[in-house]
Amino acid sequence: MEGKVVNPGKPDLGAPSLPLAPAHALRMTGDAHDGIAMLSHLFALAAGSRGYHLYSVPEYPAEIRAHANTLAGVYTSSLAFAPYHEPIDDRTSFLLAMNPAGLKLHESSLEKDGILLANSDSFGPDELACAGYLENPLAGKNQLFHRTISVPMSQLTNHAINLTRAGEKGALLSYREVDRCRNLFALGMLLWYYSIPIDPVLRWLKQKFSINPSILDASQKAFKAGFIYSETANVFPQVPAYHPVESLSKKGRICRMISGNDASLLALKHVALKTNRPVLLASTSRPPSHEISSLAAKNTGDGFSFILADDEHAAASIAIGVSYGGGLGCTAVSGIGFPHQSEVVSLASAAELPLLLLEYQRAGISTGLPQRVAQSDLGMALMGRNGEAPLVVLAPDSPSDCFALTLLAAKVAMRFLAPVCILHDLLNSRASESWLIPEPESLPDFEFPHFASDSSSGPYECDDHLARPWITPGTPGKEHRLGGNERKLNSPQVSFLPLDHLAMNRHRAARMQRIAEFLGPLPVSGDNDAQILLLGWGGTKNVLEAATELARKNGISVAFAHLRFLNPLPKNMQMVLNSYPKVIVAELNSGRLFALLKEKFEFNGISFTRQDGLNFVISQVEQAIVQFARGESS
Amino acid sequence: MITQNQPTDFASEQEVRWCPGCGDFAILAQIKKMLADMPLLREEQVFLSGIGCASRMPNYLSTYGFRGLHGGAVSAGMGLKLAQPNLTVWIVLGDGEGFGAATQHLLHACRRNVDIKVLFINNEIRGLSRGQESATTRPGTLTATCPEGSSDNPWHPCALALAAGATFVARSLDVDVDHLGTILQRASEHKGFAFVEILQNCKVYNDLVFDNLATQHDRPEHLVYLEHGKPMVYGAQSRQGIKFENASVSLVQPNHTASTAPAIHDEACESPFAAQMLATLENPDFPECIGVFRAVTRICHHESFYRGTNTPNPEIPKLDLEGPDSFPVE
Repeated sequence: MEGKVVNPGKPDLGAPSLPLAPAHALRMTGDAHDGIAMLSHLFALAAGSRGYHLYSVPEYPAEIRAHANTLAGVYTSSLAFAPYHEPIDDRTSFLLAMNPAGLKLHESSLEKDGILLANSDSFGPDELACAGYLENPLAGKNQLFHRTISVPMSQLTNHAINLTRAGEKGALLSYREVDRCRNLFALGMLLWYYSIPIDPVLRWLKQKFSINPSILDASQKAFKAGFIYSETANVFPQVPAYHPVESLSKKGRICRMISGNDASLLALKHVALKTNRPVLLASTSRPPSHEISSLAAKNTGDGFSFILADDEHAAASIAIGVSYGGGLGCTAVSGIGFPHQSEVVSLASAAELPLLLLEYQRAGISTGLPQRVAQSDLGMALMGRNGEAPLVVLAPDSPSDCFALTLLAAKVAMRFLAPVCILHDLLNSRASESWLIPEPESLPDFEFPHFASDSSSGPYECDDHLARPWITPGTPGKEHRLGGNERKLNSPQVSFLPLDHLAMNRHRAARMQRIAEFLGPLPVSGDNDAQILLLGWGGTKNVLEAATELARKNGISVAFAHLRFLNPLPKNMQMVLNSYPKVIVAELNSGRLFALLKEKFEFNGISFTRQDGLNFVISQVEQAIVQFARGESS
Repeated sequence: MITQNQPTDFASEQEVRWCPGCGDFAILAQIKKMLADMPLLREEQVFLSGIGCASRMPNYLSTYGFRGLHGGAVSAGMGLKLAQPNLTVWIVLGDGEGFGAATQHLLHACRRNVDIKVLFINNEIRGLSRGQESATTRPGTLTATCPEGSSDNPWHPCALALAAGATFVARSLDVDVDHLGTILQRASEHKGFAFVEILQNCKVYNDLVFDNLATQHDRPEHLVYLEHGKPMVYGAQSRQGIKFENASVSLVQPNHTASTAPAIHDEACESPFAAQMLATLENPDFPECIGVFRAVTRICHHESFYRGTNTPNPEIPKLDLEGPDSFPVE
């Protein structure tokens, strides 16, 4: 089909040489004191070294310090690993439950033939009661799963370390310290089950605890004990056969697990280094944007800095002050902090200054649900300003895409002197995935003509990108006044005249069209003559993509496209929508993108949404595709 | 290069559009004079403001200027100072904005000792929006939104700035041009956050609110001119003075006895307590004070902010994409 951009290959990783195996979803759950985060991190480290592609999503308790072993205190990490980008479904193949409350929350997600591995030492009467179990679900007539492996991990950990004489007079470690190693015992069991070498973990432990030989010794003992116990006690009924993907196995390539927040931060630091201009992130403590704030505070230097502002308006105002001074002012914001920054976005638009908003969407209104996923702020990003003040809106499609897209956003902001918003959701900011670290020379440069302070143009004269020169205070002979007042086009003169106002509105709209050209078209994967197009945006990409694959296997001809640029929309948007008889727009809100597209374009489509604070489920999306294809829904 | 300037060199291309008789004209003239008199680089002087009559000031000066949001100038100035610490950043606030939308930003800038100079132009009324009361309007004032007279207690701007930790706090008058010029110079020279309240007459909406201080003849009877290290006296032949007694201020008539000796002003006092008492004195029971209430030295925000991260890196910085937990694929 003419004009259609087709991108059939999977990005970055190349085609696998082995037949595709389904993603294996492993869920680790337990109390806040069970060390689930460390367990998950080390599992990913070891599995990643083996070449698996991993995708992990943590779920934190909403309470800061919930009572032990209650449902409110459960910490869970869901981890999908496969020789490919595969999504986490709500179906778990392997559930590690370190306490009954974790099992209670996730028992419904375990497949019928899935494996439940539990620390039986934490399934005492009190813990069971806290979780709401009347009987022990691990054994007896109330056993939930026929493939339940019940292991007294706390006792075995204690035995493994007991050479250190825990708790006795002269012992190097307390009982508490010994017991905290039980997560490493569990890790050892998991690695044995999946045939993953233990060396990366041993190296990590050695580095981490080098200053505390007692802890190091205990950790290594517990970890190895779990690994050996799995073999000697013949714990697992069978071992799954997974193989690392060929393209990830290339010698010499370095990989890491990267969260969206890590990736965004790396990108900002790259901008500071490449431009030799200050990049400053100003934000508040509002969750979930507080996560990147904490990360940024620990990673300042080489031109990148962070400040915790006292409210969102102050944060955005500090950022615009940085941009006025010639740096890149950035702000991180969530929930109702976003509207507080609306007028600063308008100011950036009027004064033509770069401003980068890292917006972290969360479910709910008002106080909201910062632990729940939603694409809740698209309406605010697109429409939430007085007057015609355009805001460039981008959305990363995966954790690692936060790196590429933040670089692109910074480039747009600085090249066009415009405010840019990156709409994150928890699926791309908090989640992590394997990332092949790019070669430094492949990273973009930031050389723009209007960086030069000796520009012969006046401070208001636009270039071919419709951007004025970025002349900053301190430049001799170029003193000028900027601000939020409407003015005459290409002139400093404040003007209230209708024609000047119209000219400026048109100027700002025309610049958005230049930005659309700069960003490029929307790629589409799948058959050119597909009957249905599935269209999404944000962190749901891997689920939607997998649903598309599943539908294809079931005989439905379906194409897939995922928007990373939401304002301005890609120039080929109309063509893409009109290239398919039917379009499904899938998003985690009430259908905001669908409404926008319907307003702008003629096409035959339906809105597929979810609004309960959870991600899509592959099978449900696939079902929607099938039903729509057969004309069963409208 | 610093060249000899005239005040008129600091006029911008914009036509000045305040009401005839507005006190802002005199303030603008003194700012230009200060800029011309001091050894400053024009390109390093930046004036920021928000929305209001006084906030037009940056438009009328030929330095760098930024007129942004109602309440946003203080934080924008803070960001600018972090981006370019060598600049001298001036913020112009009216009382409507300064103690309205900008209050929180202002108080935090005080405590952080952000190196900006805030000119708080106080006419005790919101002028641009046509005469509503502000947080400094005195009780009984008839306003557009209080036709029977304002009933709320006002803030004392200098006292509030002192309470918030400002390291330089001063007050002057639009009509006392020599004094205003001196105070502006002092603020410019201060290293850290400077707060200058300028009592200004709004000819249209709050005329004569500072009538008792308007003429040179009347001023000595109602004003103490604060001078560091000198006794705080006022009136003809300095016949009256003030002293601190039992954590309050009392009036004395100096007659060379210890009990009637006026207090000596100490602007460098570490505790802001005495300065706060002076900043709240009001006619007719007490004289009002103008001059520098407090001038102490603290580390500036941008200095402490960059301490540690701004140490010169002997190597060319390189982005560490790998982090501590990267791994080679085996």
